[in-house]
Amino acid sequence: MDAENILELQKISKHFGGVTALDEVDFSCRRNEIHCIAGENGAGKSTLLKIISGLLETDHGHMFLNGETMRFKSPHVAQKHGIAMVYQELTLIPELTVEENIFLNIEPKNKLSIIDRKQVSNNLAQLMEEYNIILAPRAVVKNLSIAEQQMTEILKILVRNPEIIILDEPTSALAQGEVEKLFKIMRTMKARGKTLLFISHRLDEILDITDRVTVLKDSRLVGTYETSDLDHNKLIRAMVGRSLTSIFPKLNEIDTEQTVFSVESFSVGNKIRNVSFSVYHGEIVGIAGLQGHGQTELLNGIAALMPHTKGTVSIHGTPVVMHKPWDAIRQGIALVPVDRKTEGLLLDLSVKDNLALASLDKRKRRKFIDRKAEKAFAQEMVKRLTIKCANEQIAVKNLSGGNQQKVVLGKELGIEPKVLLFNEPTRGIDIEAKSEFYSIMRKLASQGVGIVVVSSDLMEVIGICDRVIVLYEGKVSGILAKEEMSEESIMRCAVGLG
Amino acid sequence: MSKMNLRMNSFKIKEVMQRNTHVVYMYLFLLIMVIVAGILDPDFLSMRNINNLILSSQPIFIVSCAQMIILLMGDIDLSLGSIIGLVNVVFVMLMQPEQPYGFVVPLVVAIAVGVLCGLMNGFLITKMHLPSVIVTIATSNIFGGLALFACPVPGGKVHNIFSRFIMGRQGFPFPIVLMIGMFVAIYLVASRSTFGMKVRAVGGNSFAAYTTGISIERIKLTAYGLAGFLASLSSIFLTSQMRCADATVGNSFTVNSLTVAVVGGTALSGSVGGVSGVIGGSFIIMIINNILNLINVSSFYQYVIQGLVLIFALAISSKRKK
Repeated sequence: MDAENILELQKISKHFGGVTALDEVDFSCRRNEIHCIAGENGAGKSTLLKIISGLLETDHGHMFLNGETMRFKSPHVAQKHGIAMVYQELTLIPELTVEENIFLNIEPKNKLSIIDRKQVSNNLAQLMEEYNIILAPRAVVKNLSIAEQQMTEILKILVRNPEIIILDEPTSALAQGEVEKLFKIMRTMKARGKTLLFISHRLDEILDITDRVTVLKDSRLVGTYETSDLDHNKLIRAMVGRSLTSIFPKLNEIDTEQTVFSVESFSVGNKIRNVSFSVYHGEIVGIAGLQGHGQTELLNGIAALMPHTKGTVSIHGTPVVMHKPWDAIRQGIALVPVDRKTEGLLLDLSVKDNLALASLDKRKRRKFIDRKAEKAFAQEMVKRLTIKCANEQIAVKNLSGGNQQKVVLGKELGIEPKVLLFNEPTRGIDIEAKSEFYSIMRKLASQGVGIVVVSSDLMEVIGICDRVIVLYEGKVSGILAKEEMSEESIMRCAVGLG
Repeated sequence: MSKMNLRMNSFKIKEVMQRNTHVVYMYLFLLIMVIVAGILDPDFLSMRNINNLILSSQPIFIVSCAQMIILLMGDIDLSLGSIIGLVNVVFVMLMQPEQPYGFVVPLVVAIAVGVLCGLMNGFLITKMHLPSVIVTIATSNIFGGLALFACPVPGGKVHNIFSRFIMGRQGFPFPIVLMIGMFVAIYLVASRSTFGMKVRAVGGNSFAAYTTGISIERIKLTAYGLAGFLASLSSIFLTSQMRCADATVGNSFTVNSLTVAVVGGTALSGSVGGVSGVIGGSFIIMIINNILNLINVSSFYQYVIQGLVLIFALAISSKRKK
């Protein structure tokens, strides 16, 4: 056992039913370092961190904290030993205030268990100053942005004064500027002697902020590396065994004579104002911008999930009238929503049921479902999108993130869309699945489906889109062609300097 | 500095308004109701009638506090009415009206029965992992059935001095003191104590509660026990007013406690609500009944109206959510 290691895990294994999530993984973490766990989805990263934080218990193996054997029965016990985790799932109470959430279950109180609010306010003010975080303590959490909610989560952890802080994909829901802020806070934590463990899918981030990286693949340890020895390609090779250039598919011919889809001076309340753009045959158009500048509202407006207040939508040159979501579907506009678990899928139902859901009416005999046709449809879709599942009867919740996302796409393909809108299509899915997903998107574009992608991952925007439209405060602040695209040029437009 | 203070103050007022818009509107509605009632019956605002109103609001107020605590936790308790009935029967049947302290033992036993009923709900919900709706519908039948079995026809007598004291007829204004006392106690428990915060946490996001080290089982068990206790208190006051045993006396209290809680701004989805809303809700329900009596609406229609009021309140609260 190395003396500078604050935490050491030996031969940790974890099984869920018959599935192996971790297979004899060794892991160690030095005091006061920022350590990233990297790897594809399903590699076992979250499982490893959840074992450290006490949410899960190991089947085999040992954990040492400061050289002592530990076994945590619950997150609370781990917290008492100085380990706290910010989970991917929200652990805030939406209806309570920021300060009520932060001090939940550790409120300063008097003998009668009555909470000392003054003490709460003082402690919180002190902590916010220490980490330079600005939040309204009495704001109700449900009214906060995702980034602010995350700050609340982080304060909730910090107020418990842990030695080791674990962050499970803290940046996946954040826009670029917010990531910077988060990293600043993470660096402050490090400066105050904390040890940080975190998961990220964004390579730049990993290389930017970490001291060391541990890579997992297929539930096993690949290795632990000093970040200074790594670059993009080395890291990707460790994670998937291939290099960056092979992730994005080749571009296809674009026929600018043929407009598949266009919107004309489109407005959604005051969230989207006078946006116009078109998508040509073979083209993938990206929508970029900082979080909350109208990207989601634009897609939802086009898909008629939100009423648009002005403007027209045309498909193949013909204006279409849409008031409700089913109008949009009937016109051939499909949306792959941002959150597959809550907006895209019925997690307990089978792959087949989920695939069939959007196009039930296409396969009925009289009033009943034609089960043969449905099965054939599902099997064909599974094959076409290479959805990895034992068979189409398995519940969707058992699939990996990437395969779940393919099911969402397959469901939308059931209506044979002319226009496909993607909102953060590859959020939280691994590089290999991303790459597959990009190829599918390309193929659809070459077949004449108009494709619009909202993404906050600039590497993805640059890699997959033929043109990108940047939004700032709900207006178009720049349209960049392929050769003009760079992280800098997009960011310039995103902050309104375009 | 003073400018800063001023800004802080106005921020506070805005914040209070924001979190309690519903309660503010509810009190405006209550004011309108009082005016309507005052016009319909000039005696409405007499001291005697106000006293009566407070007295008759007591049982529904207390049981609605119980319902509120369960709703804050994200559950629902449909057995509160039956607990009231059972406690009423136990209390009266054990009563020795002739003995000077013939109410003490029955009081203790009756309250214990109510607490046990609540704990039984809590046990089934936490240990058996059953949903509260189903459990409390089932136990409601059990408690109601037991009460009817023990007391098939209304009857019995209540200790006179005890009853007069509870109703404030012994010189001490017990109803008002009690109302204020209950209000303060429930406010402290539900809105200012760590227990209240934990209850809200469980109702708002049980995963969050778990990761912060809150024992969901213990909180639920305690809350159901507390609800049983409050239901039995409610029953004791009701009994002192009715002065007899009637197994079915609590029946309308289940629906009414829900109505009062919802009218008072408690969210069925958990976390949101407070006693300042519930007390206003109780008065609203009592005044509606009072007005219906004044204009001679038959008690059968009153059931219909109670149901309509609940649906109306739910509709408003669901609209507000959007």
